Amino acid sequence: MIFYLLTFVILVLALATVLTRHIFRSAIYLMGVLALSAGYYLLLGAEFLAGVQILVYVGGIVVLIVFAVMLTQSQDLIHDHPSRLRKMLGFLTSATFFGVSAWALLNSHLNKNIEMPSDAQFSAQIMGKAFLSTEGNGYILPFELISILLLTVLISGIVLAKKEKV
Amino acid sequence: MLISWVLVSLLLFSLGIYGVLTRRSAVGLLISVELMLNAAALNLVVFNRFLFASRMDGQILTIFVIALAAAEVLIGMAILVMLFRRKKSVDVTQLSQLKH
Amino acid sequence: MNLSLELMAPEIIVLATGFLILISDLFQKSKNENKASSILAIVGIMLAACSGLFLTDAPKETLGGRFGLDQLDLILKEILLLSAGLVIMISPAAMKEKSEQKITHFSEFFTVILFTLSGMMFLVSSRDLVTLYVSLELATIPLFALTAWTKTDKSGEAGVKYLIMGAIGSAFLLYGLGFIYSITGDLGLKAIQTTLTASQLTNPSLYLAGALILAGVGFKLTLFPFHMWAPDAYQGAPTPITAFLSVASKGTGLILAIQLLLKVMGFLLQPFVFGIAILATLTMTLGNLVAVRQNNLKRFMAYSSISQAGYLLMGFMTTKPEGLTAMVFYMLVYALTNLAAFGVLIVHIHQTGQEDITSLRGISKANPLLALSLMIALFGLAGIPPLAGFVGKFFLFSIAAQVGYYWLVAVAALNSTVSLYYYLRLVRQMYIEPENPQSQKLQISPMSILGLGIATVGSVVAGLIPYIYDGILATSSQWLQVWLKI
Repeated sequence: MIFYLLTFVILVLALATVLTRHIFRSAIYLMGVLALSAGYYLLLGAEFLAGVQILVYVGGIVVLIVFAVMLTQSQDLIHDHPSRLRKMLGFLTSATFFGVSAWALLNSHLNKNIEMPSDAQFSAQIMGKAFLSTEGNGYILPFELISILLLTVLISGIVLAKKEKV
Repeated sequence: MLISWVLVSLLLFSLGIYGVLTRRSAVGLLISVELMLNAAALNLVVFNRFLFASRMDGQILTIFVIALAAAEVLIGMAILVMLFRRKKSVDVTQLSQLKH
Repeated sequence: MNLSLELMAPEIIVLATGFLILISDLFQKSKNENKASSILAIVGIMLAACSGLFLTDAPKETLGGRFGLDQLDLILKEILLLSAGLVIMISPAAMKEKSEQKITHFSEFFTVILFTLSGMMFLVSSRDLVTLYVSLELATIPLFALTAWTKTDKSGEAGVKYLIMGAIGSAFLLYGLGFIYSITGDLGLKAIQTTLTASQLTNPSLYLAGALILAGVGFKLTLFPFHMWAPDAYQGAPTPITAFLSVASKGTGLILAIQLLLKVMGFLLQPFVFGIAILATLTMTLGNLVAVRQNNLKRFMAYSSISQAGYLLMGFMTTKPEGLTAMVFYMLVYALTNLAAFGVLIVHIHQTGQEDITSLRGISKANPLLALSLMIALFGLAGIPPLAGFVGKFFLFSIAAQVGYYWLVAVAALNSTVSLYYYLRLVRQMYIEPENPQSQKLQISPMSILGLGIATVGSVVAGLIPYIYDGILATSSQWLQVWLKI
């Protein structure tokens, strides 16, 4: 099934993202993971979300990261070689986290035989209305807050990255 | 099966943790954190669809999360570009100016 | 459409002031004129604070289900406004032409601070997880940029480290919130609380969610082991931002903890009290032990503030109103005392360019009033009676005693004694060590004097006026009755 295929590829790519020594390649593998996550969202029936994922995450964030990698010419990262000890510790910690959490989840309410219900999809129109609605289920307040945040980040980004006139 | 989706996102999250612990460069760390955030967002959408299909809270929150992740990366890159102009290096373990 | 926007008056005023400052920058001739911006910011904050006082009649209202306001929220917002106002008042020394580590782009600086403040205020009023998460990020992400604002190597490094750790904490928090969502289906805080009954305690994913949320909260509150970002961020940031971080960011962490842990899972508290005690112990001990060996003033304040978070955590050990009251009261006291200390430190660091403890020598001769302020503040942080710091700590310790954790009280008292040692180190440098022939008379702007004065007087008086504590206590009792049906 598509799910298993997608999962296999995503996991391989994610593994590559954290294991590779070349930062540029890591960024590209990340792009793969994010793009295939959009595929996941399509499988889950969230088409609008899949579109947003591609536009913003892949088209924005990854591009930004690649930009930064190339601009900063992070050559010493080719030698990004963590020591064996660090790798062992990292592996142990994340494996423990995975193990404990997996145990917790397998024993929780999530492990019942739950299948995907059919067809409750929300169109972009409904979601758009929800974003601007002031009613009980409206999201206008977080919507406005995030626009303030984006403005702030824009201002800060310009101030930080600006070339100072000597 | 819900649990297989949940375990997949857990696995992605754990891989992100591994990346955070082993990466030395700032960009590498950011990439790993993005992996974690993506896994957490995926989790939300999965729960939304499987458990509460008549609502869309999970999806909407995920859209916000994507925007927030973008904002964080933007600031991170701005700082890194600024640093690089000065120092020509972004290796986090070499950033050791801040010691007593 | 019933919008009740007047409930958001304080936030709206703060936001409007931010925009106003940004626009007014277009009309300023000289790029070095920061007076207008900072005065505008202070006026805005005062207006917002006053408007908050007019809202005290409305007990609880919600707007579109996302924004709620009650008495406790108002108190918390006033504390936040006070903290930000004082920070802006004491920051001019860092912006003068000749200061070391000069802050540039004043208008943008103040605007970003005000927007961050608004995020913190919206966090107080959030009534569902979406608003909560977004306002939390609005309250946090600009701080990364503010830390790196001076664009030096040190501040850039501090900003990057802070950002990465902040993003990690945020990811953990989000993951935890996801699991809560899987149990409750509704993102509204009230709905979550009704769904998470005690029968859910058998569900392991609840514990997983709790642990993940604790990681996110622990990051903001600089609890062990998520405190790692604090020393570097505090040291590298421009000192006014260090002050802001130590007070407002920690306040945000407390508010986040109140929103997520107390409100939503408060009745599930019993099994976790021991864990809280251990966490508090580790945090305060670690902060204290490392602070003893610090020689850099800003790093010193970082570890001091880490240990203060440990004391603060003790207030979570009970769901009785005294616990909440002790924490809110301590937040107020801590803000005043810490900002009094920073008021002096900002002037000192930015005019002498030195951040070492030994550079404090001779201040008592050259700037006696500054030295006195700093001494009062340090004694307040250590918890010497009759300063407000002592009163605050007393209330926190009594919470631990009330739940029977006498060993914790002993540990905390021991830690306080250790902290007295390192606070006294600074006092010794100021008063007793031989004078530094180069120490000069420091210039302070009138606004800084005002801010410093308010903070110092406040840190003395806040513990002596019963009205403050009793007022918070009454509000907390009322609030807890509503949320936890106690």
